[in-house]
Amino acid sequence: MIADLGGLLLANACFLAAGAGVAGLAGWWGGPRGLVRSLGVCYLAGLAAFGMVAQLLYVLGASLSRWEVLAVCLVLATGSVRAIRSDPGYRPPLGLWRWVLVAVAAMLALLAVDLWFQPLWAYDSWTFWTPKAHALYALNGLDPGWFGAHDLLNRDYPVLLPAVESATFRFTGFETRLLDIQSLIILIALLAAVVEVAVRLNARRTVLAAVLLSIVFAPSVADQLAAAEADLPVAAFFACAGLCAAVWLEQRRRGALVLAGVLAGGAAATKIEGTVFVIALFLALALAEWRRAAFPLAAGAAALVAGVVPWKIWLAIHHVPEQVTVHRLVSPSLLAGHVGRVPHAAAYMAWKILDPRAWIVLVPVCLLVAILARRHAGRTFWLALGGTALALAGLLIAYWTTPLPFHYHLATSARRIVTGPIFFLAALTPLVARKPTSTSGYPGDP
Amino acid sequence: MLGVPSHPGAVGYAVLLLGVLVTALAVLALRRRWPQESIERLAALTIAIVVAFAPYVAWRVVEDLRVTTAMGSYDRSVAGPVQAYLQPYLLDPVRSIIPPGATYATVVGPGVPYDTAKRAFPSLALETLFPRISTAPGEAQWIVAWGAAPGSVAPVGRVIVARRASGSYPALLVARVRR
Repeated sequence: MIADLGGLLLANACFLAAGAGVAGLAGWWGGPRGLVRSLGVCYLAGLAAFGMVAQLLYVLGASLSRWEVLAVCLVLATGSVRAIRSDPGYRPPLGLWRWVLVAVAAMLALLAVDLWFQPLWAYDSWTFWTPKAHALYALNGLDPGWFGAHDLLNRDYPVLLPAVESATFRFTGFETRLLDIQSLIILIALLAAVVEVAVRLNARRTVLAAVLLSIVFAPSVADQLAAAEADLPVAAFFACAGLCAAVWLEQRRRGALVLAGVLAGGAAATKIEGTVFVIALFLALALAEWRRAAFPLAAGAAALVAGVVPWKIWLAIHHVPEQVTVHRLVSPSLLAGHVGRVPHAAAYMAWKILDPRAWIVLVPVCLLVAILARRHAGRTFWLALGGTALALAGLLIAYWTTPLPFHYHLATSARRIVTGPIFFLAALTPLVARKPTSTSGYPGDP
Repeated sequence: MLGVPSHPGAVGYAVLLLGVLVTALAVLALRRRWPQESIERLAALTIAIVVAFAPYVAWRVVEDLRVTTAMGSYDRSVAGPVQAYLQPYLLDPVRSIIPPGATYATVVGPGVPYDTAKRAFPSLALETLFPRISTAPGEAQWIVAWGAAPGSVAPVGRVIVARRASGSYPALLVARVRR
């Protein structure tokens, strides 16, 4: 298994290289030091970009052997050639208390040990996420017979996560015990991205420390890491896209908006809820910057096209039925008939968000910070609250119109799918709490 | 996590209480350094609460490790079906009955005692019978029935008992569809 871990790390190094290229092309980082402080954003951007390209290639009939995985990552990585020669600019001090970093590192190390011994046991992971990855790996691509199989759960879910897991299987063999470690790497990348953007935008370090500790020590995060499901990756993509969107709002960097689009595309290609999050993010972004609303709306549309359309075409060609239909959302009789679900689902989701056994006090604190910062409310404030509210509203509509047994659907999924809005809000909270006089952490930045 | 107790119990609550007490003492000791600004004060309070919870969160992980490190490699490989109240080897004999290129349909009847097992049975079939393809009963070449008669969903030939009834679990039956 140690050798397999080496293979997993090699695969993830490829995703990181790909992301360095994508982020470098977008002008997110410059110079070797700039790359080091942007590793989190680069990794997640690489995972999203590779996953979307892999999904497209699978739809086109590719098998994605180990060499093809390497080739895709290499092509995406070429964008870093120019960035590595750029000026990294001034590096502001991290300014976090050392004991906070030690506490975060210690908890992550404990989680790593726990995940090392964790079997594949969560229902969604063993019934369809990992079987899909195994099928991509063992059948060398999207076999229409198997992926359209009658008994395959959630056949219409996009295949970014199975494509990523299948790519790691090319390096490790079919080793399912490392999938939890893959989730941990994604979480660490998100934490690094939160720190990077908080430093870049000169956020309050105390609030940053509170958010980092709250995420790492949240029991729900530990539980979800051990489940190897798609909710944590989709939440990480959504939150990181929100961070890049905030950089676009505050610094007018178009490259940041492009990266937000790439990450949002990754979210949409991971899970159906990802599409809800993408719409929420770019709608909130357009409202926060309504004079330039065309840019975020275009970025959001591009993210959905890249993340979802190839997969939708494949589903249509192979007559695979979809759970999400326009009829579900516009049928007055269906909506009126199930309107009683709305208060129940809203109350249940609210409890799952506020439950201290899951998230300690993360969300109430984020909301209180927003209330305290309202006098100096900037665009990021509206992005954070608007994006979170719209994402939750979208999830509420999903429960309202669900074709599954309502109580079963709610009970088995609500605790997981609220992770997206929670991570999004938490990631942006240090930026919301910026002092009114705050300027960029990098003097070279606008 | 697989091995976390569903309720903290006496030890869990004791660890939580210990964390709260130690943090309260630390906050008292550091009260002169308590920030003045409201947002900073709220963030500091949050940090204190998380630190108070930290021993309990770490205890959960350790409890999980006690369970998962005691599992053998076979137990690990079948943890998913076991969590769904399924016998992981249930469908193993079916592999030698249904040829690899054939299609099959699953049927689960009321004889199966657990709802989770009923729901998860088709997924166990998908995993065990890979790469055979599952279809709707009307299109399948074979029927795999658990707690139900294969003939209830399609006209079938001779019914094979792939696995006999065991405890509260009904027999697993396989039959070829007659076209």
